[in-house]
Amino acid sequence: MPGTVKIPHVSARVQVAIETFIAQLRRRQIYGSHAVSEKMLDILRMVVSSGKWGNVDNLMDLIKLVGKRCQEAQPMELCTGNIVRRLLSVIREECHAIVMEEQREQREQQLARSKSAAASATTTTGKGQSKPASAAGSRPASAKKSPALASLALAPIATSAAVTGAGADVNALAAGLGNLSVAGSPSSVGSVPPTSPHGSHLHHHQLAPHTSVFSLFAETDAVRIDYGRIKSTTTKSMFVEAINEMLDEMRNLHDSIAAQSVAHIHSNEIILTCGDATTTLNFFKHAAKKRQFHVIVVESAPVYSGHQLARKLAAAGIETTVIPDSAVFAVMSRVNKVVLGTHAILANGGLVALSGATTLAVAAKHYAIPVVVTAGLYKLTPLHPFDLDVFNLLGAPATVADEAGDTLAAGAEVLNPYFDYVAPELVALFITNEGVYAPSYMYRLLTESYHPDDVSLELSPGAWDRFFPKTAAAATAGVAGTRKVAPVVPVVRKPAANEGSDEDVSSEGEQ
Amino acid sequence: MATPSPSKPAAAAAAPATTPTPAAATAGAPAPAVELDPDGRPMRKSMKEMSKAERRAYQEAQRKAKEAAKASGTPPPKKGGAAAQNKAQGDGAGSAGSNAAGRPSTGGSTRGADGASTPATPAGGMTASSSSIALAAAATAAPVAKAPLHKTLSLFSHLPPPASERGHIPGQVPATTREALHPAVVRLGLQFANFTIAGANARCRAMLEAFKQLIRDYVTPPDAVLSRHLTQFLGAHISYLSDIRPLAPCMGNAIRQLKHEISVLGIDISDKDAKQHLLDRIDEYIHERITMAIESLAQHGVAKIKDGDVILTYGHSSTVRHLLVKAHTLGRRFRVIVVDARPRREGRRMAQALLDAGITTTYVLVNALGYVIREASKVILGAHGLLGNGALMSRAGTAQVALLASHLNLPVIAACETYKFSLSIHLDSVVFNELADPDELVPQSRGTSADKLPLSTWRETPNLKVLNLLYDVTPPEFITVVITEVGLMPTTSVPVVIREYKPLLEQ
Repeated sequence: MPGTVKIPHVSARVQVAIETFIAQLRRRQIYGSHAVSEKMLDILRMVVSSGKWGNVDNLMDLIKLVGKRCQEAQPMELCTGNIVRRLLSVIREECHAIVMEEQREQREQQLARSKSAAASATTTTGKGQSKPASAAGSRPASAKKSPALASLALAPIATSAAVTGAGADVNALAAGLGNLSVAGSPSSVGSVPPTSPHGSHLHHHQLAPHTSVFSLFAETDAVRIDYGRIKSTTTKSMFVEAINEMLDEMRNLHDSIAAQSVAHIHSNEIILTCGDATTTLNFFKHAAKKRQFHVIVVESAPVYSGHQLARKLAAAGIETTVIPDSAVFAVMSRVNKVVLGTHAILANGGLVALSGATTLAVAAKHYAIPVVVTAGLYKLTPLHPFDLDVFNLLGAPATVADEAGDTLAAGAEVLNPYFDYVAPELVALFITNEGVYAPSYMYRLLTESYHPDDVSLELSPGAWDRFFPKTAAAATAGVAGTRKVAPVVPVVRKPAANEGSDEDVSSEGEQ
Repeated sequence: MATPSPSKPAAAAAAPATTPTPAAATAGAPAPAVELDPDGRPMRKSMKEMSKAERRAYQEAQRKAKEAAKASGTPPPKKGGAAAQNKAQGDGAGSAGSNAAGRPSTGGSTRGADGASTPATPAGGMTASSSSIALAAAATAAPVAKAPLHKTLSLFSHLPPPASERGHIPGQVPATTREALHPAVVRLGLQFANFTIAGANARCRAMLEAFKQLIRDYVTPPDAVLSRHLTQFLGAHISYLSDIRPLAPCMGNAIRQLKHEISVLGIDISDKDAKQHLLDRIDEYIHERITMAIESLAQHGVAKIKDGDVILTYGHSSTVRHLLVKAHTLGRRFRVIVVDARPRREGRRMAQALLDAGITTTYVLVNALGYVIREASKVILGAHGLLGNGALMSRAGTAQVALLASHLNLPVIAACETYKFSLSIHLDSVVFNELADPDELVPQSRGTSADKLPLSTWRETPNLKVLNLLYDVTPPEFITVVITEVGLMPTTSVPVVIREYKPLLEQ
């Protein structure tokens, strides 16, 4: 296929699967965050399990390459980028756990050696001594079983290592601190460090006091992980399992959101909604089993998604009324709550939602009616709405200008935007599969879900040349005098040396 | 005799049925008895003679009869058939129903009968325009059998149901009443019902022209005084029109003015002179309060439009259209964004008119409001009426435009002639509104699968309702300034202006 980049390290079968997916994205044959995310995870699983990537560094760049291509195929399907970033974050966590485990083992060995040298000099109790050994014995087994749990148990040791760094003379101190925390962890649940909903670890601030938030992030970099050293043989199955977990999460998404509906919908409420999101539909259906309420659905011309939703709700036994988009403010005075789905959640807590959502939200704000958004956390995107035109897609004007005749379409500029930006001040609550959050908390969820190095899906410097050595050479060789066909220009932009970490989401070149 | 049609204007002529007097109906009888015809179906009287309670009781009885018929297995007569019957009988008005009774009264013959029925010759005493009305009646689209009215959102059950749900064709009048009404007004009613004439200015103008025709043709009956009888006569027409569609505030003001003019007619003035005087006053009113008002409003408004403006407007307002075209003719360089909405899609007319005048236009639907309003520099809105507290009553969707505009600190200008001002106050859009035919919202497409049209069977689907609101009320805090023919004023000046006009009107 002209203009395509051959994905390195994968078989032809996987290559074809990737190209098919990208073509489907481009033609919008596959659309909607949920469907796209599931497919993306499938593709990534194929890449991880059957690709010959050697070490984790290569793998991460490979995933970024695939992700970048998919994102550029359909820039408004932001969830492709989110899935890739989430997977990279999980990979980083796994590697972090592995490295910590290695370091801990090294320290154990050193400690054992120093102890055997000076057995009488230790001040720790016999119980304290046996504890590390037994704990050390149990930990590697659990590490293979569930990486998250393993990293949990490793947390106290990791902290002390991070704080103090390596050093032979500090080992005793480290051992002492390690003993203290180890003594604490297996016995009482209370000392288990608080984890984020994703199972990632906020372990960095468990022991050492921090004077500012920035030192929290500094801790992450204190342990430099050389991803090139971690081989695929040790990690492949772990990563595939992680992807399977993510897929499971995706499939159970709607149920976990719907389960929270009873807490938010009460009796005899009139709820206003728009769009045809599966999350919202299941949310209402679940609540309807226990509560009696009325739903008013905005029809959302010209896509008429409201009609579909209304029929499904009526079929589920919920009192439903369809109103035209123009009647939103008129009925808003009698509405108790607004429940919306969304296409994506931006880093500031704002929404990229279906066109018409802004009017709903602003009208609700006028009457001080809470706006509740139901969405899976995979829709959370680490991008800021600096330019609202970037987060929109203009559809065919014919659907808007139809019935108006050709003269109108020919003379006037007819616009048909698919999406709308809703400011975070207008949203009261996010109901996600991981819990209920305020918009002001979304930025924090970002740092827990994604690693800052992954926000931009650009390949690391040098990765490009590693993947495509021949292209680089051919570009410099020149066309004159060679009988070879001119090199296929890769569509994906080669990252410049000093490019910033801004994610390029605009549709330049690819659309 | 026992034709299965529930409507009985012909039967009324043939066998006088007892009709409860309006006085008795309004006496406040707790459960107005609905008379049943020999078949057990409720006897049909003119809707106008029934009070609201009676109307409701009648509909309940109709529904029970239908259910009983369904239970007993006999197919109830199709409403369409009945309506066709009505229409055929209505057309045969002049011949006192003998033609109609002779027509085949098959329940099955519905739309076909409409097209085939020829208008009967008009009875003497009606002007030549009655035949055109009969033609118009026949040409009206065949009515669809509508389900009884329990499909309204309970939130709006205090409002009169839309004309299409009331169980009779809008504009259709039984023969007896038709003889009492002037054909110009009857035709006007049909035009209102079909939204052929829509918009406050257009409706008011058309109404006044129809009343002029009425006055021209009016002959005072012997032993009656013109000033008293004409008012009564006019009242019958007004209630006919308001039954079809509620009158706009401006129409109410015009009628009040007209009634005032009639009441101050001298006792010793000849009928001919009186009628001429009234015609002149109506002409003056139209000229001053509507035509010239729009003109001076445009003058004032043009001053508010600067070069480089991007003006956002909603739907179709003749006043705003005139203002924009005038500004363009005077050389201002600006472009317009027209926001439109289903189901009326009146914005198309606006966009077309602006394009014809050479103004750069952008056309969007109201869902794109959040997207386009960032480009706008000001918003100009038309009015159905301006309420006593300064709230703007206008086409549904106007309030959203004003809300988003004020959210972004854009100036919102309401263009409203003073004759649309009203002292009544509605605190929100639910208190007083007009419900239109819900089927307008259901997209009808030929040959598409039912899956693509999920609402096509909404009436039969339990739990599913469709609501079609016509107006909404914009709170006064969203409106920056009101442009009228007397200048620019804040929304709080509405009662002041009405007060100022009172002595002028009572000359």
